[in-house]
Amino acid sequence: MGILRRFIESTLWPRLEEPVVEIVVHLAVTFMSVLSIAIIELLLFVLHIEGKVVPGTALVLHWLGLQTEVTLSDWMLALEVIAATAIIVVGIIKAVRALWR
Amino acid sequence: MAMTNFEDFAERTQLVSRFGRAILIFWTPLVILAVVPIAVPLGTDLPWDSCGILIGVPLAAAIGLYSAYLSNKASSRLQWQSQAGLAPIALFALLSRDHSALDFAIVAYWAAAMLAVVLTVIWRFKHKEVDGRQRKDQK
Repeated sequence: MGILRRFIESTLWPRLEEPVVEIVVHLAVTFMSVLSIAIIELLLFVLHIEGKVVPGTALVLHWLGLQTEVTLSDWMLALEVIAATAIIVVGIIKAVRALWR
Repeated sequence: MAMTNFEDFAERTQLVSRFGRAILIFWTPLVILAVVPIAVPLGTDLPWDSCGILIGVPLAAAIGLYSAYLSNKASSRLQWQSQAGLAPIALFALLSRDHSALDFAIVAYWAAAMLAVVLTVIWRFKHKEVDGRQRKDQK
């Protein structure tokens, strides 16, 4: 038991410390981001503007040949998905890089 | 065990600065991108679909300034120039309140901001490459 504990304390944990911190920090920021967007979405529902088209997007989408519209609700969902994915991916990359260093 | 002393652990791993940096890089632009398209039309008397310029300009400026903040002096000058060069177009479009002018200004502003970001990334990459080579030569 003592050997295992010494191995964890002196060999394993010093190597894992930085990657674990990177993962925890990025998970916390992901949680904060999703929570912020959720609060903004709640605000949209309270103001009854969730179905409004995001200003300026119709032009760009039509220019790209897409006959569609992006509502504020769609925009929030897209931001949530993109932000969560990007933050977690960056966290994993940083953790792996810290482990290899 | 090392984990028992949280303060030591936080200091050693620079936990607070890492957290602050992650918030600055990810959370701040996310909230800007979420809030600006709602706040601008609500805060003005302009019709909802005419607010593109008021969203395009601060968003493009935020992207430009933000990437300038993340990069160094020479590339931040590049960002400032690209933003400042298009400011008269944006102002003209805003004052004219003409839809086609507004649309043109939005696209132009976004294009300039994106171009500035791409140029900054290329500049930084080259700069890092030269730095790396110089360090190797010194060794």
